[in-house]
Amino acid sequence: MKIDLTVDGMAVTAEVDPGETLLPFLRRLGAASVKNGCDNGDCGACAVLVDGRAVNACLFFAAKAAGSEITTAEALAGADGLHPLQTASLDLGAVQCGFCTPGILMTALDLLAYNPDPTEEEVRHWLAANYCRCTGWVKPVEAVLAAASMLREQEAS
Amino acid sequence: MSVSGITTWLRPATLTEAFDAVREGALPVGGGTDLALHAPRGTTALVDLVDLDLDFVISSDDGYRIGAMTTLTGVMEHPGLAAHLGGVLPEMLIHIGSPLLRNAATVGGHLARARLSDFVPVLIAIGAGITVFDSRGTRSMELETYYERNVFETTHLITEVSVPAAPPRSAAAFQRFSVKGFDIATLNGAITIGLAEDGTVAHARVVLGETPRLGERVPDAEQMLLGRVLEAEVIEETIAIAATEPFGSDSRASAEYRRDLARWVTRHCLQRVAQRLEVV
Repeated sequence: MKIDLTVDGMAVTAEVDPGETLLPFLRRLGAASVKNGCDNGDCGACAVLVDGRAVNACLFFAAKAAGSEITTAEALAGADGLHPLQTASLDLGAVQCGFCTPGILMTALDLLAYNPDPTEEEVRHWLAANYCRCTGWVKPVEAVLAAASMLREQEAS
Repeated sequence: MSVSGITTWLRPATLTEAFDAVREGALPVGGGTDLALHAPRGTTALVDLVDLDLDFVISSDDGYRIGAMTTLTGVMEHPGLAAHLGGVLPEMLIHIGSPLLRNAATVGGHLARARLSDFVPVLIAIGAGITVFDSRGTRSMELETYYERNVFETTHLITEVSVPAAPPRSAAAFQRFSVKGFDIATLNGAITIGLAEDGTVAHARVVLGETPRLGERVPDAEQMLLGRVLEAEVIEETIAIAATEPFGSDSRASAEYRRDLARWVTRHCLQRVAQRLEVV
């Protein structure tokens, strides 16, 4: 079947299998940041935004996304450079092997959109959606809190 | 996980068309998170309910109507529902999967699967109703009736869940026990208490779930609570009654272990309800 949707700001018309999820579909389109960690909804490495909310791409039927706007980590950096979440992750050492990073960024993007000033506990709760086997989560949590602060400053100025 | 063997994806514009598709064997899709992992073998057609205008929360003096396609996040982020009866809904929903799952999983999809649920005990404890659509049209019933009478085994579509307005001076609490945070509960429970003007209990619902059955009321405990003051002795009596429920054994726990957990779950629920009612 054919679906129309928007992926990272670009209108896309594509053929999908009716039982296919967003994970293989988006990777086929070239979005290599959408990682296949478990294909089981456990690890969060495939997190993308569907109409602004972060979901597990491996559990979201591609056909359900018809008419939706999908955002992957590939769209985070803009003409002004890296997104504050990316800058903070690099500056604070939140990226080690990097496999879980795109998913963490997308989960954090959703969190900060609805809660611009989260507590550390809230950030920890949200990042429980994303497995990270390298960092022990300490640095990603610090990076999200730092990015939140950067985003609030941007908003205020 | 992509599901192999699916040949048809339907996106009907009316409930009748959706129901007809389901009657012909298509499986309804809410958020699809559970189907993507657990679609029954041999499933060939899926019917997406997204165009049926079932994503809503409507509040009124009578309470709330929650459309079946509302996500679990949608319930948690609705200010009225989030604060209802002292915050029992977010207190429970935060344990279901992760934010990523709750952003996709829907209320209707969760209830239709009717297994391993923290949500069902809370909805029964707060007196929720459910509306279904089938060949007889639309009808509403208490959520506990829906499961008791096995309506869910018939061919139907869930359209909405209703949550009645809170009784005067009332609060609810939820407690679960699981081995690890993300594990499904070994036992869970939810309790709603409403007080009369003299401070005695005028409304009580005591529910235990994963016993290992889906959430069920404990009528003896509710009866005992009525007319009493929510003090330490009454809490102990409620715990004692809850522990007399028929518990079952499965791979998660023995009946005996669940009996001990029921005491602990009931105590935590009642203590938190008492705190919320400011009677302790």
